[in-house]
Amino acid sequence: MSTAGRTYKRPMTRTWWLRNPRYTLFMLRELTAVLILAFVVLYLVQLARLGSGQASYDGFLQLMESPLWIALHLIFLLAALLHSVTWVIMLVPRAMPEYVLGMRVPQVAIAAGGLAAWIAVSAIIVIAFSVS
Amino acid sequence: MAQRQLTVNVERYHPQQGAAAYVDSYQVPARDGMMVLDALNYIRDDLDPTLAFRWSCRMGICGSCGMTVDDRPRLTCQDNLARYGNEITVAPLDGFPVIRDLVVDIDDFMQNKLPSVKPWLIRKDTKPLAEGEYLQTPQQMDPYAHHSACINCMLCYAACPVYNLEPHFTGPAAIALAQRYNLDSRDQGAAERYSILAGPEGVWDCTFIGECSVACPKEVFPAEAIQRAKPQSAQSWAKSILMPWSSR
Repeated sequence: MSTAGRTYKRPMTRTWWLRNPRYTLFMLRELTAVLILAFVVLYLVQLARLGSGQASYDGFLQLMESPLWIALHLIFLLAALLHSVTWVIMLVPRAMPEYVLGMRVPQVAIAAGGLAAWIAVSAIIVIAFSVS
Repeated sequence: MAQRQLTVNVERYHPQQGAAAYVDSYQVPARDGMMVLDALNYIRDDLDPTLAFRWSCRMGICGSCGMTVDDRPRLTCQDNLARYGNEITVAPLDGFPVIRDLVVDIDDFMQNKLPSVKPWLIRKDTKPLAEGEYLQTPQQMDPYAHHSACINCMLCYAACPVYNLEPHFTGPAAIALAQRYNLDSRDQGAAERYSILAGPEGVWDCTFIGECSVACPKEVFPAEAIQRAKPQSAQSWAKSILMPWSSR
């Protein structure tokens, strides 16, 4: 039976991702990649300024002390947190193999393990930088 | 028994009466325990016999009464009116061509997507019938059992923005069913299916929004099945590049 030409499809609007909070969270998480990219570009600029002498680097640091840049860094931090937390807690446990060596691994264990590893790595970085 | 007045807005479409959908509102006396499907049957029996919708078993196993209720894909025979206020909106499923009112055309799934993943046991060595069945322990059944509960209700496709935007995507139910056989200890066709899933219409179209698993009324977990099929699909692709002579 051919129904072509006499059917219609419900339209998908440009705001489809606002219809459902889970779609919105997904879109926000995808957008975090752009913000993290922006942060990485800024970090490369910082390295370049460091390479071109003390005066240049001091100027960069001074610029970063402006409220606008502090606010932007807060947004970068929130984006990184949203990305990491939703991936570690919500997505990784659902994407990992259910069975390891023939044993079923509970999703809570994967989430907890991931979270613990993330906190441990963060702590090591913080300690390494505060010692030097 | 408690009874309340429920306003049911139904998105309707009649191909002979123009190309646009329109909304009809009905007043339904809703009693405790009534499902959305019961309200629709009340409308069709007592208020408007021209309303078209599909249903059969009323117990969540035939998979034919999937519709959009208040903007979410729902199996209407299992969707208790107690979840909603005094007004609900029922529309056809997203992502599929609407034939009439709440009836959608799922030929794309039945004729294209479903057979494309070869959802049957593939054996390279078939033993004679006299030797009996291929046996399986409960432990061997466990990894795929939940993926085998699919009733083809199409709620996962309706919930999938990727399928809505790119209809060539093989989609959640078909890939979950592919995994159901890939993970079956009696099956020998996983390499064959992974080479299909690695293709341009396969698992890599999935962006892991995850709404298919939320919409699924049978806990098939298609989003999980798709993510877990990705590494094997990548392996299959790499193998076809590195060792094109090896049989797929």
